[in-house]
Amino acid sequence: MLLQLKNIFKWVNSGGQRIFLLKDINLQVEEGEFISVMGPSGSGKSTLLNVIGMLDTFDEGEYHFLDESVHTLKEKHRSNLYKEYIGFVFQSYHLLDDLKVYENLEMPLLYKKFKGSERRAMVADMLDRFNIVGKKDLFPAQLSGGQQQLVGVARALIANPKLILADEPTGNLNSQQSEEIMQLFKRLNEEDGVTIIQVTHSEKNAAYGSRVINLLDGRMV
Amino acid sequence: MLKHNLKLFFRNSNRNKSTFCINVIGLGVGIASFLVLVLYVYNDLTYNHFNTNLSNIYRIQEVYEEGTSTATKGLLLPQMQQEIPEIVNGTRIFDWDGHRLSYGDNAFLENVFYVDKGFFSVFSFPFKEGGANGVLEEKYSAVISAPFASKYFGTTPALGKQLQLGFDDVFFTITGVVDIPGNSSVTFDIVTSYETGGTLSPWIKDVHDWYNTFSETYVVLQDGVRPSQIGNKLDNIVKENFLPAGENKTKINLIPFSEYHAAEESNQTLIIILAIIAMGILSIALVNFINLTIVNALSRTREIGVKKVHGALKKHIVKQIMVESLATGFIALLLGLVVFSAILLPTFNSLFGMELALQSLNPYFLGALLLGLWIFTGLFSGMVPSVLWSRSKLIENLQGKITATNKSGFAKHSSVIVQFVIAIVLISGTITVRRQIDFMIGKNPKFDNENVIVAQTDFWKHKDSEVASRKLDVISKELLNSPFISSVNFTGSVPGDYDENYNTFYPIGESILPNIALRKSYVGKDYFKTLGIDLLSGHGFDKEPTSLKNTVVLNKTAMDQLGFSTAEGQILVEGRKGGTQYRVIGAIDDFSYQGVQRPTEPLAHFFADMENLMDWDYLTIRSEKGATSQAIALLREKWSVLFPDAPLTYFFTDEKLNIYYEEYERVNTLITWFSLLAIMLSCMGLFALASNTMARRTKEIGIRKVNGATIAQILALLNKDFVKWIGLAFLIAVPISWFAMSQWLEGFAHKTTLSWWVFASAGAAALVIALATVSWQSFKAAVVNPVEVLRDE
Repeated sequence: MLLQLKNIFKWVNSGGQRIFLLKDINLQVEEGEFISVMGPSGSGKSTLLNVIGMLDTFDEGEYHFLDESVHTLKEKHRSNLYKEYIGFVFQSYHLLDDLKVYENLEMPLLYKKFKGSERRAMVADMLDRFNIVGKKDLFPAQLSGGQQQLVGVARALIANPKLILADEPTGNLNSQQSEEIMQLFKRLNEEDGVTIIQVTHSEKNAAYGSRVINLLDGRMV
Repeated sequence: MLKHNLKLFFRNSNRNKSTFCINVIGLGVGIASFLVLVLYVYNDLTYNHFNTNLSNIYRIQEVYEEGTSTATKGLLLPQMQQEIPEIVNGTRIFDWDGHRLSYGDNAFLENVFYVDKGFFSVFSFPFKEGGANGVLEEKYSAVISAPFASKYFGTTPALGKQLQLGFDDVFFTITGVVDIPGNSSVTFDIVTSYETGGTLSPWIKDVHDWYNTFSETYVVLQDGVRPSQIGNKLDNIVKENFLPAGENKTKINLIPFSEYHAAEESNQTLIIILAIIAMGILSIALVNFINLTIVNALSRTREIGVKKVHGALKKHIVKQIMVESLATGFIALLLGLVVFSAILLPTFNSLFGMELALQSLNPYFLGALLLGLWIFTGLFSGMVPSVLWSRSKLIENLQGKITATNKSGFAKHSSVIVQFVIAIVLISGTITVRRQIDFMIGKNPKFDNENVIVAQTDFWKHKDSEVASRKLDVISKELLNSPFISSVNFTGSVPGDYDENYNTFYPIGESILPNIALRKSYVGKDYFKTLGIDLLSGHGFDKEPTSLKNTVVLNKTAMDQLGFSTAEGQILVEGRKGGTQYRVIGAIDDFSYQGVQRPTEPLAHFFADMENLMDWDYLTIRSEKGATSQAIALLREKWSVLFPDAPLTYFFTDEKLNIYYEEYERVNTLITWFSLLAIMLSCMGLFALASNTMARRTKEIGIRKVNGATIAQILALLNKDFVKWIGLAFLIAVPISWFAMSQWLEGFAHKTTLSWWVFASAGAAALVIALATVSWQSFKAAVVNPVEVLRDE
């Protein structure tokens, strides 16, 4: 078992009323799964993903990640945990505009105490694996959306995470680019055994996964 | 990691060029002005430090009941050296004599100083040619300053060259050339020994007695001896020698020479003004820097979010910001050094006639100063954004949201307030200084400053002064016959050039009254008439009742201080009991004989009848109203006929008087330029801030426009806030400025009033400039098509 959510609640108080963003979420994810989270706008998909990614907190419930109880951890430990095991892919790529492709890939490694030579080797390996060696000296603005997301995925993978969290990874892409990214996810999942949780609006994309979770008003349905 | 941060810094500043330029230029200029201040203060604090035995040098001051004076009695030093063994060295400086000196065709009237043999061992002037040892031993040997040497000898060595004295067969031999440091209290053009002086001008022996005070005196005490230890011996010297013997209450005070400059000479006002300006400019620049860094940081929140997601910790973020602000600070420092050495310092030096140079600073001090400035500006300006960045919430970062928007809004506007407070203070300062100068120049001088022409006799140019005197007589008589000229007079003083010659007087018969010190001047018979000075009672020297011998004309201040209501029947005694008696024959109005920043002193004009007209300094000519140009033409014509070899030098009386106001003109120039700079920098900051504010309010503007707001209404809405902040800045600036300006005006005997409109116009100027800056941005924001901004992301 990779992670487990038990009776997770998350709410905000607005105008004297408690509005639930997540309501009684129970979820268990095994290593090697490829899960798609679906649901209408405002149903809590991104919130759930952020909670799983430990970028956001929750108000009630338990969260176990590997052997750790995330809900009891201090912020510093939490960030160490996600740094080590989780990679993120965003709808709008979130590449740093001022960094070239290879520098964007290198960036996460800077915060993980890798030596310069190790970093270069890992970046070179990743460029190779994603077939973007020729683009390594370009800035994000010089790439197409699909290529940018390719770099985004490569960056998420560079530190060998166990889990990839992708928030509408193809939301800004056309159908052909989407197809390529989903094929890539599928390969990563099947060949390298990476666990993937993606948020998506598209039935077609959801079909790449092994399991679909539907959310409505913060509840799993 | 450092490489990564620097890379990001360069790419980011390249992308935001305008922000980067505003930062660097502002900070650079701020640093440059700060350096000028430091250099000036350093120069001021290290005054006289080149003297190796500075801590043992003392300047003698005589303390009387009426006041103090650093002019000392001529026999004091020899007596002290004889009676007080603790005094190991000493020198007098006598600077009251002038001679025509020439080398080939190069001839000038020079102020020749006479000094004792100890001069070059008391003071450690660095010799450029020759050496200090026994340099004035030989009679007629002289030491000159470097500028003096180049004036006469150009670039050729001066050592051994001879300067002719007057037209006689007497020559000075140059035995040394010294580089007088810019921060030396003692300066000279040419010095020679007392013996030489005594031979050249025998009269100086007469004024070296136990009454007259014509010389400055410096002594060197033995190591470890304090002035208080020789107090009794000094009191003894006074008791035994000062007149009246045994009764004189004068105290002899030893002013440590190391403290002399700060206590007596230093221009504290200029230091304060410079400090306000330098700190003001630097803070405006720092505020800009912090502001723009925040704006820039906020636009990069997403970047921070992404980094945090990928494992960047608080310390990484702080480090990145610090690297960026330190790098900006470093570039600003380099630019500041360039601006400083290429523009600011040369301008300041030429404006104030100084020779400040960075090289004069101790290299370690300079290094520490520059490093300190860099670290300070870098860390200080990086502080706010790093706190803001590192505290922000990760998820919000990723969505590009900024935390604590309201708070930072106030923080940003408070910085606008600070900047405009400084700008308004500087603008009102500029106006006030200008007004005071105009007030002084425009103040009724109470003499005719329109029709009086003053010609210099230039007595020193003539070999045979008796021949020249006869020619001068011819000129004056011919001028007087002209219909353009109403009056002509020879005089030793003219407004703007009154000797600092004082003596004490008391009214006869009333010995209880304290003495009064009168400033003495010698004038010809028609002086008051020619200058158009009003007589309040009695008459001038032009009416001869019996004899003009021993008569005096007092000004109103002197009359008031003596308690005289009319001139008639009053008699003054000069100096001590049994001194010469003078009849007061007239009282004149308090006319401006010196700059009106100083209080009017009691003046005494004495009549002098010079047989040789070349003994006068000036020939004054009053033309008929409106006939000045004809009078000048006539003067030129007569002069060139009779003195073909000595070209005429003439001026108008107010020109000489206005020299007294030059310092204020300089200060005014300084403040004006820096005010402009301050406003420019503030506006640059405001511009950037406004563009950011507008960018953040585009959505609001769009919604308002969709709901029917007109462009004018939007403009009013957007500008309202800025008007509010500037109004607040105005309220803060007025009391500060009012206080500073009234303090400054305290130093003037005659001062302009501080009107409300000075502040009002400074505030209005600031407001107009600020609105002009902001309105462009507001207008751009107001005309945007709402469809574009309301389109959902």
